[in-house]
Amino acid sequence: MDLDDFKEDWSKDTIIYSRPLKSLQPINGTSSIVYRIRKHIRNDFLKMTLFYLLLLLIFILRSQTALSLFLISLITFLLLVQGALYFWRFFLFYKKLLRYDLSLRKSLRRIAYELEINIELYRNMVYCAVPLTSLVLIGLIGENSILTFFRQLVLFPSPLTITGLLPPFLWVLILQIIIYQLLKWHIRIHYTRYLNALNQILEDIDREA
Amino acid sequence: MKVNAKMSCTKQSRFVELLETHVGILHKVSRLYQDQKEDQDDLFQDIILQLWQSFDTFRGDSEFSSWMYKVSINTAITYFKKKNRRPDRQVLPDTAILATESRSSVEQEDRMAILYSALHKLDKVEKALVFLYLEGQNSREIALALGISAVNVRVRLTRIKTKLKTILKSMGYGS
Repeated sequence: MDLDDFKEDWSKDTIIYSRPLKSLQPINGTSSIVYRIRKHIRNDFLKMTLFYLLLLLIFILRSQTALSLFLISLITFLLLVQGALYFWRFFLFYKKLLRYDLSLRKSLRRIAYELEINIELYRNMVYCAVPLTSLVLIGLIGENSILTFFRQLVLFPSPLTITGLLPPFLWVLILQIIIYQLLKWHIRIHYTRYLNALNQILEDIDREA
Repeated sequence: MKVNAKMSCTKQSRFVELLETHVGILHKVSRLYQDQKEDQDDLFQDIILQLWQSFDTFRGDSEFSSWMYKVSINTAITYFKKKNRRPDRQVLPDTAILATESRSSVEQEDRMAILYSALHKLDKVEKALVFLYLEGQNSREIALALGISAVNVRVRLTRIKTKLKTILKSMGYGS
């Protein structure tokens, strides 16, 4: 038995498609790579916006000095704008991907190329946002905190000494490393693995015959 | 406003009409790329959704079936199995999901089951090649759909046929 023996069966394998069924609303969630990435990006954008808006609100309600309110609101606003610019870029990327009628190789190349650029942009955006967000959080928790630890993080010891500065610096560094690792994991699970899957298919297509 | 609604309705009915004529392609692609019935149904719907969203790019300068091959294969290849199934808000034309009823005989269906079992052992690109070949596309058309050279298509098809023969033999259908 070989492939050509099935050709006749294949062509005779007809289906009767006359009866329209019930409405397609709602249909099951879609599962293509592009839709999944879009879903993750949309969720990330919503979570990020909510997070920063919540921070702003807390600051406005809790801030004790006008200067801290101004500085931290400004940083939060900048983070929001930075995030919005990235997500706008991604929205344009997604719109471009709606063409599925190109050849398989061309279509996948385009998705993989654009996706790689967008993952890098996303990585840069979140990596730049982390230190600023950490500062905002430390400021938020530290300014009004009754905990000595947080107060020490915000109000550096006086007079300033290397040994006095070391503990808060170390804490900030550890916090950064933990957040970076979490983000790396998040990007790998939600984006990079799809890119790897696309690259694997492209490798199969490009494999020399 | 009324003109837009009318145009949208015309577009929808044209889409459904073309879909009804060629929907066998979707059935075969879904069955080729997914082994579980539930996953086949999901992929089937996904392809319809993608066809509907890409319908504006179909200008009629090629056969609808050729355009459908590209969109269906591109969708099936970039499709991931679902982990959890939840309703989606995506809306399609009401009549865009269709009842499927096989006209094949039992014997023929058995042979198709054997073929699909063997095809499931191929990788995604090999499946696309075999699908287009079984659909009667020539090397040039397959090359156009996949974006590789016609020579490459012929060489690969020869290799795939040998591979399938071995697979079928290992399944006990050697002669």
